[in-house]
Amino acid sequence: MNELLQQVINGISLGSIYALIALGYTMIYGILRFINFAHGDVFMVGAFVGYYFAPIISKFFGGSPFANGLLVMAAAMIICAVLGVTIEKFAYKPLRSRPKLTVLITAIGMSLFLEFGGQLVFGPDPKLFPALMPSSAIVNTENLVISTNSLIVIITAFVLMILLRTIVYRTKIGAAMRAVSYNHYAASLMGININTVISFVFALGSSLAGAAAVLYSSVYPSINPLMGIFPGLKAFIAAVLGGIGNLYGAAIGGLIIGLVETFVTGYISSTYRDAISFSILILILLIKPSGIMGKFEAEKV
Amino acid sequence: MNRHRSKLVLLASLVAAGGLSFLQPYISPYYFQIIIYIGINIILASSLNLINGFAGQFSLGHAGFMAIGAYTASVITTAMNLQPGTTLAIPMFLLALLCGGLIASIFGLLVGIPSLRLKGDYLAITTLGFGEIIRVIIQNLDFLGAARGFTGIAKLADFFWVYAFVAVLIFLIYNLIHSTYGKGFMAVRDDEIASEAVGINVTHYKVVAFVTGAFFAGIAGGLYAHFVTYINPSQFGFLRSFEIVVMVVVGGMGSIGGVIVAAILLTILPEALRAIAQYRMVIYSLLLIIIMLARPQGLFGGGISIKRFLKQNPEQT
Amino acid sequence: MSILSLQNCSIKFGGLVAVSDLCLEIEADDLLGLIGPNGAGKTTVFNFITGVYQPTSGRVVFNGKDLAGLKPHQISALGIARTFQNIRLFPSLTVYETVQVALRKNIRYGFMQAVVRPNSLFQQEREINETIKEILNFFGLLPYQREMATALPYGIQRRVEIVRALATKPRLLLLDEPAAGMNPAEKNELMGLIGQVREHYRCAVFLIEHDMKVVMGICERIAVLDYGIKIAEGIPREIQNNPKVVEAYLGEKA
Repeated sequence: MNELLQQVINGISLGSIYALIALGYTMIYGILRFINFAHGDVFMVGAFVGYYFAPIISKFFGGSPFANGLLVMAAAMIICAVLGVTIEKFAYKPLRSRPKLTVLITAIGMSLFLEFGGQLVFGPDPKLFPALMPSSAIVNTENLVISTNSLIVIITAFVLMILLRTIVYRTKIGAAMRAVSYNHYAASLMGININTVISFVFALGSSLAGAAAVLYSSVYPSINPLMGIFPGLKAFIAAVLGGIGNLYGAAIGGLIIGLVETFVTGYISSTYRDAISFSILILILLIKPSGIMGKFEAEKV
Repeated sequence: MNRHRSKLVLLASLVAAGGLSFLQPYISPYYFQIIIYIGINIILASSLNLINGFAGQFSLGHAGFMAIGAYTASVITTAMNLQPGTTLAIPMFLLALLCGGLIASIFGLLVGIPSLRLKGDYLAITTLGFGEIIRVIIQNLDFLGAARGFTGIAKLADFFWVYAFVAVLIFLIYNLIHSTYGKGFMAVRDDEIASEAVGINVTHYKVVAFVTGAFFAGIAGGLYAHFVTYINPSQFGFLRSFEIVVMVVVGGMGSIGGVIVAAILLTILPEALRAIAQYRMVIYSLLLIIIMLARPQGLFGGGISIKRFLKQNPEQT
Repeated sequence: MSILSLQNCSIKFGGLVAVSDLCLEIEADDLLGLIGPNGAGKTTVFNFITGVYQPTSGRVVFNGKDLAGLKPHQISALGIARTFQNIRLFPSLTVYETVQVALRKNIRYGFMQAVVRPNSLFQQEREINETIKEILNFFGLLPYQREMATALPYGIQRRVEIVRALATKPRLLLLDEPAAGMNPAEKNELMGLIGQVREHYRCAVFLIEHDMKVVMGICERIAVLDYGIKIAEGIPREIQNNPKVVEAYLGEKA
């Protein structure tokens, strides 16, 4: 029983990180109808921002570990936002009127560029992400350990998701986002600046990836330039599972993927961990390609 | 349509491959290895070009098909204990390669089926996932050596075998796309709805492209395994698939000659520029981005046709 | 006997009823026009005749055969061809190749023969080549055969699309707003072309058009669709004077 509870908590903790990344995929897809392959690598950059900023912040600000942790996360979010917007401006924007295939290839190129550019800049070897706050166990019985870390991950992720929901549904820019995702042309006729909205979506999505990176690295502290590939792919799968373009879907999809993966690792074998998510993807695409919460979109003829 | 020209070219290429293979003792092993890799990469890139370039189904799982071919052929030749130079070696090696190709093409069929419902990004990521699933499964199969790899494969692949398959594949693609039947691939790539409206069975073309492409990727895998004599699952990860994609994109999707040139250059380049070997993937990735922005038809694919497709405004279709 | 018969066809997208209970008969030598305000569901009718969508209820019968469950390419093989509202030509094919693709069903060889090229293949390819030349010549497109279809002037692109449809030897040709975006000279040319098509190919023509001059000028019968419902059908003069049609187009009388 305890073991089951342990897996559930681990799963929710991992899943809420996937959910944060998946939100970025789903928002960008919602607005541009393409998968930003480089999103997972923006996440990786977020981890390295945290790695380099954590010592500086604790040295110069010297606040409580909690305040320092928040500052590190803010730094990762801001730099990832800038990175995301830059990528969009230079690589994707010039291709907006081209067939999807060219954008797809560019996105793959951008993803590889960040991965291997990252190897050059950060070095290919794994680095140890500093512990932002001392982790202690709240519960520690025979086979159940609940650490403050995993609780902080879950709580932070949920706070960010609620914040995102407020932005999307309660603010003017959020309304503009929803309008643009519905119809670019009509939105532009209503006086909405499409480019501003797209930049904002990239900033928002990428900053969530940055936050997710800091949370992820505080649980799995070994970071390297290729670390974004699998979390990125799994978060994408989560977005598809939930119904791409749908915010709630991304959150639910993330949690499901996190739980399934933790259970497969715990009860079957960790070697199948990566394969199981892809199997889920293939199944969902064959059975219900619109995902759990998605709507079917017919091609206009 | 010239009646016999392509057959004569094929025959001449096979004879040339046979003749040139006698030069092997005079070439340093290092250069010889590069020449073999060039051939294998031409097979990989050209077969992917059939799927990505001609049929327009963007696949990121080519290394998966390669792995299936490599392992299948290696299991067969190892089980038969084939040794180079023996009488059985040549026909049985050919048989093993064909089996590898066949099994790979069965998986090509399996992957082709989702491609009937998925487009663009979804298909790309599904095929990538498929490749990863293959890799993970091999990693967990003990009789294939699991993560330790498969050792003791006989060195049966030589210059002749590799380049004979290069010639056969180029012959096949050339004849295919210059027939009325083969024009259907380009029509499907350009516009599925318009293709169906004029009686083109889109499903048929997509599946044929995947099955044929996978078959030759399997052959390439078999040749590779029997040249390096040791394989392990990590040689067939998705970075391998990306490398093949880069060759196709740089050479020019839908350009037979361009892709061959790109496969040659991108095999030689990292060897020639050892000093910048660590920049290889960075250069590849920048190439992808710059080509898509500035010259989507590829560096060597001079054809105006694919250019119109890649630059068309989707809103106007 | 009618060649195409729509029997109580309805189609819904989510909650929206795009076409409701439509009945329509087209004779083998008919030239029927379909008109109606924007969004009336005209293109949707073409889409379920050609199998792009399946009607939610009702039957589409072509030449005595129920089309339910057939894929667009199978329906094309039975003899229905179409053009598209926004021209859909193949961007990477020449005019010649565009017609060649439409002749796909004329060839009796498959993948293997295409690769190994037996002698019978050359015979078939020669026939295909002759057919293409003949069609292109008939429609005055021979000078453009090596040009990329999408690089041609608009009027000629429309013509190529019609020729591509005709190359499949249809018994029913569906034209979706063939005159859209054309200048008066091109429109006259188009009307001549449609006349030529009927005479030479002996197929029924069913066309959607907004340009009243074109519709009234060439159609023998006209059906009017409004909010997915057929509100009138008859000869052009009846339609012109039908109060329901006038109301649909001009709004309710004050």
